Amino acid sequence: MIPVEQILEGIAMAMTWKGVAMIALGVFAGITVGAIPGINGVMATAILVPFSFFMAPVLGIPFLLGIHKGATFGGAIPAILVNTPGTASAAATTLDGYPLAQKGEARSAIQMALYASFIGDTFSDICLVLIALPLALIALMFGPAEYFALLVMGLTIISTVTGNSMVKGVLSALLGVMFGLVGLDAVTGAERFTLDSAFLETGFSLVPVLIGIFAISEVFIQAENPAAEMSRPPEGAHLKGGRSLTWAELRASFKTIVRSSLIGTLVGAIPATGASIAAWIGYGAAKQASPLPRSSEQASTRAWRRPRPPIAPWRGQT
Amino acid sequence: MRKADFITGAFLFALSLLFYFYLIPVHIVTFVDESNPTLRADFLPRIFAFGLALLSILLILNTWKSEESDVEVKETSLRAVYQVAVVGVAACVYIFMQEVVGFLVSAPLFLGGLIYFFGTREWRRLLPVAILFPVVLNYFFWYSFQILLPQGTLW
Repeated sequence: MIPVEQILEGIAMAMTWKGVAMIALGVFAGITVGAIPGINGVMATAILVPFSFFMAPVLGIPFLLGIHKGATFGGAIPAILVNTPGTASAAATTLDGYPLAQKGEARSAIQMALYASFIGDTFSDICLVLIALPLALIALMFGPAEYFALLVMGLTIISTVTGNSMVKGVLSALLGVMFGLVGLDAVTGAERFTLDSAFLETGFSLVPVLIGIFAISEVFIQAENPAAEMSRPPEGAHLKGGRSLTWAELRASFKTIVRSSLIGTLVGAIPATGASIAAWIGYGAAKQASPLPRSSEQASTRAWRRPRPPIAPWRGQT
Repeated sequence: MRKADFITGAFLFALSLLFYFYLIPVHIVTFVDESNPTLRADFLPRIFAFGLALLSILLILNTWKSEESDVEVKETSLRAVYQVAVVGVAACVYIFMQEVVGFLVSAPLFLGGLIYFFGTREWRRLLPVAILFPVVLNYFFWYSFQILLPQGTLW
């Protein structure tokens, strides 16, 4: 039974001019903080939560929600502009987003990320309101075997994102797994590759590793250019000259956005999974379905039909 | 591309040997659970190191089997290596300096030095970015989020 009255009452409480203003302020702050590489939605909320101490709950909660939603989208901005994802979930965005920025289509890429993020987020919010209880009951039935199956399914995504060489894709994945093994063993608590350093006991955090991988590879690529070329402002990495996304392009991507929304909602509902896994599964599914060439060098706005799946609002809450 | 793949395969094979024969035996503390002796901390790393070795051999074999001619790969110039080395060393010095003299001193030096190194000679562009950006960032973090960026141990 859906508590319709309570939902309507909640909407009425939030839809005051003060409530909407606080959401807008939260979204602005969230995008600003989320665009800083390394700060994700949860961290942005934690950083900005003191501001809500002085607000009434009906204003503070919309403000915090706005921060979280804004930061989720904000992570896509550095991913598209400088090839460095702001959040782990935006890592897949770099694959098509940055080539578009290099072609001078950064503006339309960011707009597509924004619209896809908004549509998917709203979809998962509606799902949360309508089917949270049955979905939570299914999620609670997940045991070790189901988690293992989910992880194997996640690894099969490698086959869709590797490009021409499957061997290289699996090798990269194995290297990633080896890095993931650093720290304390989850089963026995034994130390693995910590080199007697307390810092390594918790292993490598995903976001710094992602930033390092993407940013350092960009340093290598840029190092090939002469110094004079590097000191020039990049052609595509600014919004001024880019063109806006057209309605036809957004409409053409609608199928992918709906598919990714479903994937994000379902994967996000499972405890201990989250935006990063959902993003890659969504990217893999979109790539499989896309009739366009796989080379990122041939990326166009039409190819930008692989938005990050939305993140279910209850993601990460185990 | 074949040459690059061969070098990558050889490097990864060496890495897998390093894992299997040195890192796993020396740097993994294992406890044997008598009820399940297979379930040890070194079980998964050994499997993955073995997989790494197998796939790197496969990559090397693929380069030999491949009949397509060597794709022209842009040779890495000495200048590129030099530029990467400078960025790497500068980043290490910056991290070390940040601990000692703090963010407000080390960041302008690092930013200004790199911008100058990469060819910008316009002081009107160089100085505002190198000095104003770290100062604004430092105070933004402090006044907005109450986050104190490294102040240094020297002062």
